[in-house]
Amino acid sequence: MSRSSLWLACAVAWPITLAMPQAANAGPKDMVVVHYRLPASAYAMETADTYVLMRAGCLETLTKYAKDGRLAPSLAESWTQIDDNSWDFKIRPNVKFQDGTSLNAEAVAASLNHVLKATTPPRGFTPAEISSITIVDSMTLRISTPTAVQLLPYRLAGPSTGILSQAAYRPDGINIIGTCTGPFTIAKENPKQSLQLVRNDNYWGNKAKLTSIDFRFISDGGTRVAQLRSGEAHLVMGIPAANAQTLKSNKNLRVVTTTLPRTTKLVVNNSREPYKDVRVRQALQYAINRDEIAMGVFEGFATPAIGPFGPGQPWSYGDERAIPYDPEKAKTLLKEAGVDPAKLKLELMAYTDRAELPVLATVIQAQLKKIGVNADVKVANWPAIEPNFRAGTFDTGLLSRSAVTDMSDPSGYLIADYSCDGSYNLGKVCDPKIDKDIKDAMAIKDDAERNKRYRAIAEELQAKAVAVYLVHEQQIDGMSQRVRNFDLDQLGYYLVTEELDLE
Amino acid sequence: MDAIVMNVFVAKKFVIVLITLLIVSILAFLVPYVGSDDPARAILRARTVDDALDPAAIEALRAELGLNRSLIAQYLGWLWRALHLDFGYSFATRTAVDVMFVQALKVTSLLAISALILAMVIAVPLGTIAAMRPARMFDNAVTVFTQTLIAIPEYWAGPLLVLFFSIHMGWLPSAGWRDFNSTILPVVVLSLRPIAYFTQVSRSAMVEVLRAPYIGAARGRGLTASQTLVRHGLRNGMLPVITMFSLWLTSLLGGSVVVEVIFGIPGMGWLLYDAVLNNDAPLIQASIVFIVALAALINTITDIGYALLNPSVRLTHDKA
Repeated sequence: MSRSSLWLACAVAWPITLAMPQAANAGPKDMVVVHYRLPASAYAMETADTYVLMRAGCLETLTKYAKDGRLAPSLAESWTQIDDNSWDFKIRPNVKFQDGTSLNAEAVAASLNHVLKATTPPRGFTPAEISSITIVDSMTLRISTPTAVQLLPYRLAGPSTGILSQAAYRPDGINIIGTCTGPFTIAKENPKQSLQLVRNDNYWGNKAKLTSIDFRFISDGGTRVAQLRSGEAHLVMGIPAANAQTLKSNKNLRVVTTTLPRTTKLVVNNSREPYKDVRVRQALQYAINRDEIAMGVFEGFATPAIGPFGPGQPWSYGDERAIPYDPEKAKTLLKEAGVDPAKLKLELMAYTDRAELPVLATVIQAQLKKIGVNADVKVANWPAIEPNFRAGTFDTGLLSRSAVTDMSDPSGYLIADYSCDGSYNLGKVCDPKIDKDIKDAMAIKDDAERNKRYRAIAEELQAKAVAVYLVHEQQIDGMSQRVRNFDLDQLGYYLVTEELDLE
Repeated sequence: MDAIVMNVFVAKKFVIVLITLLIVSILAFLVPYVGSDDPARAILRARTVDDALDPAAIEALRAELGLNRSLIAQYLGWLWRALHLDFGYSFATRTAVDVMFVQALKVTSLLAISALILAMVIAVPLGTIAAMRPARMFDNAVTVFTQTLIAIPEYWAGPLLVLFFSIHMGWLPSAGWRDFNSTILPVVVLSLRPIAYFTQVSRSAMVEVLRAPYIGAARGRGLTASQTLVRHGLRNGMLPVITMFSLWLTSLLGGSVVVEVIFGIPGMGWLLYDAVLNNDAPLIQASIVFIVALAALINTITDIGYALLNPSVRLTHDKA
């Protein structure tokens, strides 16, 4: 009996007695960052894993985006358009990879050719779009395209065109240890767990303010929040909206929102009756209360949509063209189109992969009911929904869609989603004028003028009601009050920078 | 004669295992193709940030992975390589499946064995004490305790323990698999149900053992109650618990999905979870074959072990 009791006491005491405070030997400039997405493809350069390397302050590109969204020099100190189809990039001198080898045109060409030869090269940087990469001299690289491409320097800011030393390209995959040029060196990788980053004291730019970073990967939102609340992490990317308000009330923590170039929209099948009629689509625009959606469904961490592009982007117009909530006008438009709301059985698809969309579908269902339209909500995961979208066998469906991904320019999005042959034209939009306008805009050399044309296309899309834009989404990040100089860009490229600091 | 019967018994067992594995191999191979998702699309979605997949990239990937061949051709190729223990490369990470398996299995083995040892350390004394005075207050309390543990789901217990030990007390890490401290919460959560079942089994076994005539005889020889319990009672009462230990180990090695996902542990459960999310066919197929093979192997060894110890088993089987 007494021996059994002893066993029991030992068993219960075991976890507690061995528990020790965390990060006991962390220094004042050692930060713990938690990232929401795990590297899934062994850091293959053509995949989204390169975002992780860039956010970790390791991977750098030839060009980069400045705070104002303009293109700025990075590993290329300048670039010149030689003719319609060729660009010369002057490589920054005196830059060394973290393994001690020098950055030069040969190293850059090898890196870019590696990604070009991938089975699935990144969008905009495929052999169909890049005809050659040649070394002009030791510090000059020429990139040629089969057709005139004004946006090539923008493409070269995308993480997939990041530059690594030759030691990175092994037959069995990418070696990320000590092969970057950035302000932080990856000292160790714990697969699926974390990257151990240390300051690169030989960095070509300003020396980083932090000494080291434990860059962790946690996919579960609740667990990420727990890391922040327990004090284990200083900076956590991707706070679920449901937890953000609670974190805001904690005086030791700070919640920062960044408006993303991502918009949740109601895709309307433009090829199907009665939605072929612009008045029916416009009726849907007026029937939806975006404020209610932003506050109710997204708990205030989204802004009511003003159009296809959210505020603050160079190709976005102001809120003067935002569609007001006006159910009476919606009814009138339906009447003018000869549609009896009571007889309109609208099918509304929502996918579960984004937790808020099924809830949003029921809110829209209730709002449409107010103009007499009965919506039949169908909820399933994306793989089950996508075939209907692609085949055009649907009326309407919710979609969360980013207007820019691999470069700070919306042309890829406009072509994919709104041109007749677009690869992601789920709404079956086909308007020769829109096609021509997109093509014309892309050929404009001057950035400001090109953005003006994109703005005009956005106004056209809104006026023609090709889709119903609902909310512009926000990225929510949480951090300790000690974190300084956190300034995430809209594309989410630059998280760990040389300026990031702990007080 | 006895050796011949035994050899026939063992041979029959292995033929059954082989047929089972062959059927399972067909089912395992087909699983990734049953869903409505196109594997090439699923892989590309996991690899890029752009929702609009490039049709040329989808086709290129299909060709590279051999997904444009007929299902039968794909199956025969896969089976041939699997027979040589080559399960190919993960579609998502391009890492050899066997390498990913070994890494994940190391983590899950440590997690599962630690949880089961913790469960035994707690359950055996609890069950023994409860068995010494059946239907008394302590026994009843143990029954309530074990039923409660059985009823607590891991997805509830995990966050609850994190809330207390990590967020409020700041004693333990809330996630990860880095050091000894980070193993404590997942091990405890994973041990909850085994604690309950082991306690129930050890209590039942000890109730039987303590009623056995040799216990009375031992006391009659002048042994104290505790000496009798340790020398005769525990040794016999532990047998069913050890059997349960091996059964639970098989089950937990197959993947402790919930605990591994909640605590971000890179083990078998998480590997499977990721593989299914990404429709990573080679990983899903190899995982299913591995789990079934493990179960079949352990069951066969157990059957052969019983047959060796108890001749009536093999004779009954032979007649059947």
